[in-house]
This record gives sequence, C-alpha cells and structure tokens, in this order.
Amino acid sequence: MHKFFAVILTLVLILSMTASAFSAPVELIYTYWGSPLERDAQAKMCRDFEKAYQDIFPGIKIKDIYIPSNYDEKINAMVAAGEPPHVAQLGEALSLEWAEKGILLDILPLIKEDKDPSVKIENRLSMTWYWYDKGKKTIGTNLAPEVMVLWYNKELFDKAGVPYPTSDPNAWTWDKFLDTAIKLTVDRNGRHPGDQGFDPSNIDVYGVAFGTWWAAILPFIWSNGGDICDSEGKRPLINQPASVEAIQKLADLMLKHHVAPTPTQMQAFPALSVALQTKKVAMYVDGQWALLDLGQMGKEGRIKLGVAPLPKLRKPVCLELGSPNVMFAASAQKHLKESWEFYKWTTDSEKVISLVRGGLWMPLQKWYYTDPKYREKWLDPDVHPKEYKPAVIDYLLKYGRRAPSYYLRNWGKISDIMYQELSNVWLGKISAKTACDSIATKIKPLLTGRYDR
Amino acid sequence: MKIGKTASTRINRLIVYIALILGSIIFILPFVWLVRSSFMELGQIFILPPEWIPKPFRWQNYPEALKAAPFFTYFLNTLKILIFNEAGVILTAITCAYSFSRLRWPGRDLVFAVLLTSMMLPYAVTLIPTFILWKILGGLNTFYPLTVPAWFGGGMFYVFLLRQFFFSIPYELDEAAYMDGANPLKVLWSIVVPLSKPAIITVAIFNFIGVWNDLLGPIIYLSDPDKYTLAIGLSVFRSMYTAQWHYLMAASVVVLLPVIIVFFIGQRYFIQGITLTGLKG
Amino acid sequence: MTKSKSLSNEAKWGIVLALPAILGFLIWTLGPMVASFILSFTDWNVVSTPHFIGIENFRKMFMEDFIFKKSIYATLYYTLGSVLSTVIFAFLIALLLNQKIKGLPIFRTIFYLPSITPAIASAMLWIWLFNPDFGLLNQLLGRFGIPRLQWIYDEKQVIPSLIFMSIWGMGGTMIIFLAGLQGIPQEFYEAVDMDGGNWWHKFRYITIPMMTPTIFFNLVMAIIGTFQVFTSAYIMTSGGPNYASMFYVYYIYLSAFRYGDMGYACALAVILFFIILSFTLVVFRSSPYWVYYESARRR
Repeated sequence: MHKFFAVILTLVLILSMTASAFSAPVELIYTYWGSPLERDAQAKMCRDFEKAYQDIFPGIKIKDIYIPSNYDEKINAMVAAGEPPHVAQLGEALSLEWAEKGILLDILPLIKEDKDPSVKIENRLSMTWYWYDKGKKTIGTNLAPEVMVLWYNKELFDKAGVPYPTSDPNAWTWDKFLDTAIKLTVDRNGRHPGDQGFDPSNIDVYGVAFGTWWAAILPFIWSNGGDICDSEGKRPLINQPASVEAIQKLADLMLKHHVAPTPTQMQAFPALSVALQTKKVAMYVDGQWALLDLGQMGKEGRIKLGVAPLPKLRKPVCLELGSPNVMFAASAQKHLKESWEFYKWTTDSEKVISLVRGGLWMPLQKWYYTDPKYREKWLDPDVHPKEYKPAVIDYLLKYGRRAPSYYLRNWGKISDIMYQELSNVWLGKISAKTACDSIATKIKPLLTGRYDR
Repeated sequence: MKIGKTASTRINRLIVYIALILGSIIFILPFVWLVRSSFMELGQIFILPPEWIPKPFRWQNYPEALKAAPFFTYFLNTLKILIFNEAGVILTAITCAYSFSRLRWPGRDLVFAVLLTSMMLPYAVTLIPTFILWKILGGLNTFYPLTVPAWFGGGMFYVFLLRQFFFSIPYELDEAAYMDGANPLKVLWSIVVPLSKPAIITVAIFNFIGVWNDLLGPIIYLSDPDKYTLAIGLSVFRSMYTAQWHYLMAASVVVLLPVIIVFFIGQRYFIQGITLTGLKG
Repeated sequence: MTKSKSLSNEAKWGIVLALPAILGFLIWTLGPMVASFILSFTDWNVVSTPHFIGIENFRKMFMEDFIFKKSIYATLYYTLGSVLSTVIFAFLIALLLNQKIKGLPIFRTIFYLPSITPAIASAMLWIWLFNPDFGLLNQLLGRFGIPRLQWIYDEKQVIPSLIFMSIWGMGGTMIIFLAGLQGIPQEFYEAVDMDGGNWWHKFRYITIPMMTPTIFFNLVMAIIGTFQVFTSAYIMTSGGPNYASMFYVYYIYLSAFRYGDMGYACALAVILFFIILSFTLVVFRSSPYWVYYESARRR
C-alpha cells in the first residue's frame, strides 16, 4: 500500500514537473489573517520564497491574499466555489472536519518522501501536529505554537516587597500564588484583601487578571486533575469534583478573595497588556503572543516585564494551542511540488523569524528550543524576559499539553457552551457546580470522540 | 408652519431647543468618544470612568495609522465602486419605484411582494450561492459584484422607500400631464422626480454610507490587495491577538469625515418643504 | 387614443421600467434563495456533496436544540421592543427636527451620527455606559437613589438594555421620516390655518395621515431588519450571558461558519424567513385600514 502510494506520488510529481515545464509559470494562492505586522512579515516570506525558488520553479509567483476580517466566510466561499487556496492559515475549529472530508491534503506521505529535516515529524514539537483518521493522517502543524503563561510587572512586586513568582512550575503552587495576589492587590486606601476595612469595590491594583475563555481556564482544570471529558472524548468530566473545584477556585479569585477583576470590572482595561503596563494589574494570564505588545513596551523601557508558568493546583500543566497552516487537496495536487515546497517554507520558523523574535510567535522546530545556538536566533534579550527560558520554554517542553482543539470533535460548540454557561459563575450568580452540571448535560450529545483515535 | 409671536409659542420653542440640546449631548457622545480616542495613547482609551482630554495629545496617531495600509489606493477604489454603484441605484431604483407605485400593470403588487422577500434571508446562507454565481459569471476579484447589482433596482430597500414616497404625490398631476400627451417617462422626469427630491437624496445618502462602510462585500469578492477598499483598510487594526485601538480610531475618523460632510450637505434638501402651487400652474 | 389602448401602453411602460428590479431578482437573488431552501433539507457542510436528509434538520431544531429556542425567544423579544421604540422615537425626533429653528443642520447631523459611527466605536462606548461598576448609566441611576442595574451582564436585563441602545441608532429611520415630513405640501397646513385649526388639528388631520406611507415603510423595514440583528450580539455580548442575547442570525452565522453546518444554518434561515414573512404580511394586510395614499384616491 505504501509503495503504491509512493509510485503514484512520484508519477504525480513527474507529471506536475513536466506540466510546469510546458505551461505558464505557476501561481500559488496563500491566504492568511493577522495584524499589519503579521501581514508584512508573511508577505515578505512569500516574496523571499519567490526569489529563492526562481531557479527551481521559473516564474513562480505567490498570490498572497491577506484577509483581515470575515476570514471564515471568505474561505468557505472560496472552497465552495471550487477555488480553494493552495496553502492557507485555517481556524482550528473547522480544520479537522474538513480534513476528514478530504478537502485538506494529508501530508504524511509527502513528509515521508522528503529529506528536509524542518518538516520531519520528530523535529517539530509533537503537540503541534493535527492528526486525524485515527492518527494515520495529518494536515500538518500550527503556523506557530503558543502557550498560556503568567505575565507580571516586576515594579509592582518590588514596590510591595513580594518575591517574583518562581520559574519552577513545581514550586509555584496555588497557595503561594494566592498569597502573592493578595499582597499585590491594593484598594484606594492602600489596604489589602483581608485587612480591616478593605474596600473591594474600589480596588486600585488587582493582583491578577484572566480572561474567561477556555484557554485561560482549562489549564487550571487540568492542573487540578480534572478535564472537560474523558480521554476518549465520549464522557463529560467537567462536572467531576476536580474540574468543579478548579473553576470555583478561579471564580473565588474574583468573588471571594477580590484579587482578580470580574468580567465587568475587566472592561476597564480591554487590552490586558496595557493594564499590566499602567499598573492596574500585577499579574495576568494570557497567551505567549502578548509578548508582541509587552516586549515592545519593555524595549521602550515602559515596563519591567516578568513571565512565569501558570500556578499549579496539583500538578503543573502547560496548555499549548494554535491554528494550523494547511494545504487544500484540490488545488495543491495540481501543483503538488510547488505547493509542498511553499508549505514547508511557511512552516519553517526561520522564514518568519522576525515575528518570532518580535514575540508574537514561537518557533515550530524542536532545535529552536533545545539547541542554545538556535535559541539565540529567536530569543531577543530586549524583548524576551530573562526568565523566559525556564518559565516558558522548559515549562512547555516538560509540561506541555495540547488543547482539545487538536483532537476533540465538536470543539467549537463545546467551547461555546462552556463559555455561555460559565458566564453566570463569574458574575457570582450560580456556583461552579451548578454550571458544570448543566455543561455536562449539554455537551454529552456532542461528545462523539476524537479525530486522532 | 407660520411662526407666531405669542408668548406661548416662544415657550414652546424654548422647550424644543432644550429637548434638542439634551438629545444632542447623548447622540454626539460616541463621536466625541471616537475623536478623543483617536488622539490618545492606547493605555488611556479604556480608563474607566473615561477621560475626555487626551494626555499626551498624540496627533501622530493619524500619520502612523494611515501608514499601516495604502489608504489612498483604498480611497480611489472605494470612490470607483461608489460612483458606479450610486448612479445605478439612483437611476434604476427611481424607475422601478415609479412603476410599482404609479403605473398599473397586471400582477404588479404581487411581483412587488415577491421581490420584497429577497430581504428576508440572512446573508450567512445566501453568501456562498451568490459567490458561486459570481464565479460562473466571471466576476470574482473584480468590482462587478459590488457595482452591477446596483443597476438592477439597487436593492428592494430603496425601491420600496421611493415607492412609498411616490404614492403620496397626488395623481391629478400625472393625469394633467397625460392629457397634454406626455408619456410615463416624461411624467416621471417632470413631475415625480422634482417632487421627491428629499426621498431621492435620502436614497443617495443611504447608499453612499452603505457602500462606503461595506466590509463584507469587498472582503469576499476582492483578492488583490490593490483592489481593497477603505472599510477593509480599517479592519486591519483589529486582529485576534492585538488591537491597535488608537490607530483604529484615528483611521475611523478620517474615513468617517467624508460621510459626515456628505450628510451635512445632503440634509439641506430636507429644509425646504415642497409646494405644489408652482407645478399646478 | 382609446382607454384600453392607453392602459396597455401604461402596462408596457410599467413592466419595462420595473424590469431592472425583476431581472436583478431573477439573476442574483432567486438562485441563492432557492439554493438555501433546498440545502435546508441536506447535511451540507460547504466542503462535501450535500446529502438529502429530509426534515432531519428541522426535527433536530425543534426537538433537541436548546440554543434554537433561546435564540427565537431573544430575537422575538428584541424585535418587538426595538421596532416599536425606535419607530416612535424616530418619529418624535423627526417632528422636532422639522421645525424652523436655528442650527437645524447641526442638530440633524448630530442625531444621525450614531448610525454612521463605526459599530466598534459605538460598542466600546456602550460597554462603558452599561458597565455595572463604573458605567455612566448606573451613576445616573445612583443620583436618583435607584439601585444599580447589571445591564448587559444579566440574563434578564440584557435584551431590554440592547433595546434601549437600539433607540439611539434610529438615525436612518428618523431621516426617512424627515424626508416624509418634507413631502407634505404646505398648502394643506395653510388650509387648516384658514379654517382656524390649531397645531393639534394639523398634526392629527394632516401630518399623521400624510405620514402613514412613511410609517408603514419604516415599520416593515424595521421588522425585516431587526429580526436579522447581528452586530450587538457579535461585538458586545457574544450572545450571552448564558445565551440570553443569542440573536437568531448570530446563531445562523455560528452554525454556518464556526460549526461548519451549512445545511442546518439554511434550515434555521428558512424558519426565520417564514417568521419575517408572516410578520410583514400582517403589516401589509393591515395597511388598507390605516395607510393613506394620496395617489390611490382615484385609482
């Protein structure tokens, strides 16, 4: 079977190469989203590819379509009209379903044929692969991995005389974290939670802040030994004591200990990075990508930035997430060789190193994490805080766990239901237990297993 | 309405002024918020309760925001779409509305009702079939999907709006013209259109704003960055991981100004009421 | 010219002049509409061939889908509240702005501003106004000793809050009323003056009857438009808290593009189509009893 495939593949390759020799120069379509910074970096990456491959594929052009909004609508329309891009950034909610329907290319055969180390399965972070068809096929990896971490403002720690969070995920316990948060939370009279006369409705500095979307909550559920569902993706576990307890602890940070802003209080600072810089918040839970803004502030000397792993409840867990770059079968197969080379190029972190050095992305290839020489390439001392290596890199390598978006069926619906049901918990209207019971009932029919098993 | 000089009239006018000024304060708030944000640092924009004076005053938000995308190209593209679109809407919405209101033909009201149903399905489900249609017609990555439909009535909203206004013009005027041997087109041009200026201006203004702010249409149908429009240009400041609010606000003000100017000029036509005296002759 | 010949001539003109709209409908609208109806009976997910699954989508919608029920309730509630309050409020403001007073162009522009300000700027502003802790609305209520409201952060208060907000975006409706008020011939008012009538007579016997075609238009358009409300749920509330503002079209959007279930989205849209259609028909059917057309008198 494997041999047969290889023969076919070679045939296709030869055919496409001879075809390209006789026909007009190939134009590949690449679609992506992102901020102006990402737009510029990705456009440059495309131009670099054109230049680098001019000898191998004479006249090759990349038509890079930057879609700053309504991405899902546009990509759906392009696919439905039979004009999908060759290579594309794709939202994680739809990717695996489309893969299963055969719309996206299974690139495993291509990887096996190719000698390029940057694309080998074992050379990329294992968490970042999107597997389907019981783990026998893959659409590839993220464009860039991301992890959830704890950012903090060192000046506030210095002022309060509180030691910085440790970079050791095992030593950074929930109790220490809560204690730190209490010491850092200050009301307008300078009192801390627990002090006589502390005024929770007039807090000047919050010890910690976190969003209420799944990626900010799930690592704590996992850390407490809970989960959304069992490992087969069939049975809800969200209403089990370990999960409920973790959610209640997060809600208590807002409602009981008053060390974190509630979602309505958080509206005073929609850009959390700015809240950290302007000392409204001492620590906050967010993705590694926040370093794009924070690193810039640090570079300009506007913040003394620190980063730590998330505090552990029972065991340390690092949530890794991201969205994949994929090849569309229908179009990519027409110019397989060119599309493949370009696909590899887009997921070779060296080609977009400016985004990685800037802090927005993390690299895909393992050697960027393990080899000090490669680490130097992307860790910018002006941007990445000095504890970045233990607090982010080692944390990821040791305790990384991929988000359910990599494998769970109906993940879009399940995460939306969690978001809606939990909204009343953060407002203090219902207990975590009530919400989790309701979530469990509602997601039960949606738990139909995993793509990779 | 005649302006009386009695004391009660004066009090009435005072009440009107007070109501209008109070209302204005509430209604102008978002605009003030937008403008002051456009001169602020990112950090100051969201401070609660809001601060109204930018500190520091960052006028450079404007040049920096406008550098983020080729806004002048986007402006020209928007203008091109706008001109073709506006001409089509005004011309064909008028003729269609005229037919549906002042000319009798079999099945007219039924046809009108059927056409009206075109507004009752949300875009989310019609988007893809329409896109496929434009692919078949060869219109992808051109301005045609954004301009050509305007020449086919320009959307039932405008046809319906004008139809209602045409209904309120006394029919005797048409009859008199027909007696003089005019054809329907002549009646439309010499009687209905002059008497419906406020409505036609309203359609022109609405369509201007609609085209100017349309994000979905251009983003779906256009693929070349050099064909993008202003609305797409604005959307680059909001992305998943970062939102450059201060730039977004600055660019929004720039994009909004022409709309305000167009509206300000257009609303003049609402001031003079219509007098039939002159026409009756 | 005989009567019948002139009639058929008129009919010919009528059809020719209406042709753009009819052709436009046949070319660009009918196809996608029919497609949506057919797809509502399939499991189409955009990328694969649709399979006919009978009324399964509709069965699921009515029997199993709790979000569907919540979104129907939220949307009906919002539509009823928002349509009535925006139309009435817009009419009142238009009356005020139709006086001969100083600064009229400025006032008109200001009242229209919220409907042209980018949705994102308006949303940000309202998020502040509604904020239970720092919001202006709660501060004002506090002055009068009224306890704080939770506004868009409470399941029960979110829809009334959004209705309240929608009034403020009534600029378009107001402009149409204003244009309608301008279309009332001055002679009619002068006739009332000559008969010794006061402002109430003018309002009751001239303004209201002459404005009924415009009121009718605004009512129908508000119904069609409000049922398809989307932006406030999308930007401000994400349909929450706990689905309380899960507007119907937002749910269609999620089903189509986030959950990848276009067939189901089409089925949802078909139901919405018939809801909007029946409300519109009720208004249309009622119109002979209250809408007054000047040109219809002799027809």
